[in-house]
Amino acid sequence: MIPVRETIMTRSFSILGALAACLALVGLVASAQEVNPVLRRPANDVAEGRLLVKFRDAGATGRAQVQTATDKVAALATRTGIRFRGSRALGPRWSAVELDPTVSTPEQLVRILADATVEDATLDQRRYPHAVPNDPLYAGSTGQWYLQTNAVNAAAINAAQAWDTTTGTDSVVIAVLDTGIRYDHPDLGSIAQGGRLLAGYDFVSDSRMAGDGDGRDADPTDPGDFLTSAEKSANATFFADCDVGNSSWHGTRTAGIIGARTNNAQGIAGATWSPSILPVRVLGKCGGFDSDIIAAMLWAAGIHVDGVPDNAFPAQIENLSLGGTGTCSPAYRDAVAAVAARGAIVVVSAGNEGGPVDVPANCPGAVGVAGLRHIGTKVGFSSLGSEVALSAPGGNCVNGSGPCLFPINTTTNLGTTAPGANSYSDQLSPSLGTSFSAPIVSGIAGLMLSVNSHLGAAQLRARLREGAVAPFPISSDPTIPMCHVPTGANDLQPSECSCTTDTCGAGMANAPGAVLAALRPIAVIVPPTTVSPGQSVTLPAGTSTAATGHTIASYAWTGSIVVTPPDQATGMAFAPSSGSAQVCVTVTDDAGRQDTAAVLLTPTSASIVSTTGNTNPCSVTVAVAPSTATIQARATQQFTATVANSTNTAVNWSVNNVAGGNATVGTVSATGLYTAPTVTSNLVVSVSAAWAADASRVGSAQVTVTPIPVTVDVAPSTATIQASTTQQFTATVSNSTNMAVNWSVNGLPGGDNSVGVVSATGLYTAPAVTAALVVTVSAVWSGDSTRSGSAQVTVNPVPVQPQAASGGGGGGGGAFGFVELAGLAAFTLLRRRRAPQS
Amino acid sequence: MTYSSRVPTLGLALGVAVFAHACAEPPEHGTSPAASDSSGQCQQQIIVTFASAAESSEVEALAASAGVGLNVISHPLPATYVLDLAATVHCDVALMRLRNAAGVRAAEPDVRRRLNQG
Repeated sequence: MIPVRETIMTRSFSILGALAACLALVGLVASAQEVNPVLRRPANDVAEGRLLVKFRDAGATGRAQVQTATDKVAALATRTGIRFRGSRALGPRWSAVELDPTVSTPEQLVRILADATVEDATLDQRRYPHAVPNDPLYAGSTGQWYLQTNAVNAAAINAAQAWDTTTGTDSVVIAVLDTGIRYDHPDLGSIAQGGRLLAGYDFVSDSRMAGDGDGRDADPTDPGDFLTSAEKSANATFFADCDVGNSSWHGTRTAGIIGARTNNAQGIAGATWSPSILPVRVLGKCGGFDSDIIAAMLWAAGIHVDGVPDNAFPAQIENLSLGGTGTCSPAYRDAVAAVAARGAIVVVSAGNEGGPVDVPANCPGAVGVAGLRHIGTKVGFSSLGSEVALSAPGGNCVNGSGPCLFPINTTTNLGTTAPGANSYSDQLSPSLGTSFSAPIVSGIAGLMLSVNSHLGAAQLRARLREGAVAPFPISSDPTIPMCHVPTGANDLQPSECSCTTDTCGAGMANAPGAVLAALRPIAVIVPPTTVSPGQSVTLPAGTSTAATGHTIASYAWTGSIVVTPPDQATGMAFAPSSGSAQVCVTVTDDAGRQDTAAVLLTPTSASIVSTTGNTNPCSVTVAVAPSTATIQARATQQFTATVANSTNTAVNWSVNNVAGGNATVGTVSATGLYTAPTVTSNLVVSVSAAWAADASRVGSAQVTVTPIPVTVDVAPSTATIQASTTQQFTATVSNSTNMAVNWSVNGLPGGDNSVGVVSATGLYTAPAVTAALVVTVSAVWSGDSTRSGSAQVTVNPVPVQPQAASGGGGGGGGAFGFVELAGLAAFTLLRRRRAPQS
Repeated sequence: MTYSSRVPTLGLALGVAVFAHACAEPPEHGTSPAASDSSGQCQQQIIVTFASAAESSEVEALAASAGVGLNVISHPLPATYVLDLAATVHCDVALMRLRNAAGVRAAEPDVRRRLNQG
């Protein structure tokens, strides 16, 4: 890319003549060096000689030992042949190592990353205090909180940390498709006057909306988008659905967020300090038409539009803080695709209805941006849904009256109709809306392109999302609901809700995270145009690129069908005779940053496989199914292991990292049959299958082993005895070593005189009864009162001896008389009890 | 350039169906300001996207097949035209005819969009 300001100044040379050119050249050289007066990091700050190494979890490697950090580093030195000058543990898995000064850092880094015990390694870089601009409206809680550290307000983008890496370059052009611009704002200004603004264009074709006396023209200056009652009356049909209102200076506001002049001791800071801003006017009184917006999108990206001079400074980023309800039309879909084909990304606000995402934010490939409150929850007005790419602060007031506490302060104008004095929005005159979320993301994208100009539209979108902070914070207020994907146009969520990745995108926009993602190299495989079954295919990866100022240090090919030296820029593999197979290349740059590209080969075709972040779809993975199981002690569960991306499918099974398991954790056979141990309480174990060729490739399942339920049996289970006699019962407790039980009769511990009593050893003594009585004798397990056994006992009265037939007094007659008397007594009692009813 | 043609008027049933469908859809945020007048005449700026790149002759053919007048305003993308639609039927009916024509991917009013400021 040619620096924009260099081009503009070069053009002026021909006009000013040789002497002026010479004078200007001095200034050009100075500006090209991009002196950053607040950057406290030395210009030649190159991290060399020190690395931070993260070892894999010992459990993940299947190694059943606990190594000290020193042991791990020593073993690493042995395997890699690197003579470390020193090391220091940073935790259970991280160590800082000093490298061999006689070998280049990149070379040692590559060797370390290739070691199976190493999960990650990165340069141990020197850090400095963050660059803080001197713009007076930047700092403090009433300043630009949204650019500040996210340690204070979770939704803030932490721009200061990113500015340590880059404040942007003027070769990046960010188009602002909006209401136009105030070139006379001192914190913006045209490039010719030392500001940030390119010439741009006015695409508002209807003079009634334009307010500048004509249709499309070369001047994107914002004359004000106010609509008066008189204008509305004079064009009643045209402005039928429009509200009378003051000028918004919307384009000046969004442009200020992206790129107000920064560190100029005046006003606010921009998210970027150097990229150029291309004002493109598409909105006027009561908005703007799709036809003008689409034409402007194309023109801004450098695509020819009939009747308009071609854009000399095509934008790589287009910010559209506008929209309307509906689905993405094919016209917008094609426009976004055409812009992306030119390498430009379209960043669009999600909308302010609290409903489904607006057009064109909902178009495939667009970066739809939803609005966040300062704490990271969705701000009420923001629309939401699956089309949102990520979220950024949209401004929220907290207070129902008085100062708005978290507005998006930016540049504006005080004129209610025609332009007035230039100014800044603040807590008393706040800027709120997803209109201001989108330019925050556009600014971050500008920083990303400044460190890696090779990023295309899709890559920029993916890495914006990669750098976002997730998961979203959940509100501590239990009355705040979780956000949900709108079910239709009328499903509105106009109040705060806690974001999810389904509703607010990949996360909260984060400048340093995005810049870090942008710094990764870009792996590219050029797929062959023809493929034949079983034949070799050549896979060039030499067009892979590193970030600005970096180079590709190595290539690593993976995949089950790769047959060529794995460290070459061009890979070779055999197309499968049937089915499909993936081939991947992982490129590593001179800073150890990586990216992976993948190709899917079939017997007759080759196609690019999309990857997310630095995931390697060709990595050998082991999956164990089922992934979870709950079984009883001593029961079995069959597991299966599936090895992906290798023809070698052999695995070794273990339980809690013990090969084959043991009696304590259970055992697992060579075929994956797990047998649970005997347990007295729940036990959770991990059953793992490690790839035989590389034990660091592991799949696992979590198994919960539950005890076999304790049972209590009482014997005999039934008994019939006479009153006042005894019956011995025996309780047998199964599946526990605790045999203690507590006896009860009809639920009464130990029983009582009415139901009989039972001793601690199970001896039941029946009560004296005059009629048959049935009771339940129970043994309750002392370990769990819900576990019990019982027996049913029938207690019969003692039989009465029959009296002599003569009716004289005798033993038997006495007994008979007792029963009769008892019956009589009962009859009498019944009569007495019923008496009141008669 | 303007292309127009006459075709037999669509039946009342189709018109009723089209209006019923339009009523069921949520309203768009802003509409094309010039649309059908009280007499049912249609004059509206629209965007037509063809299934593939289309020449002006295909716009002419589309106008003929749909029985409407189409005046090309701009041709921003190979398959996309911004057109002035003129018809003797309600705009919704005219648009439905255009959408149903062979080779047409979409025919929509040139809708007004708004800034997303609170």
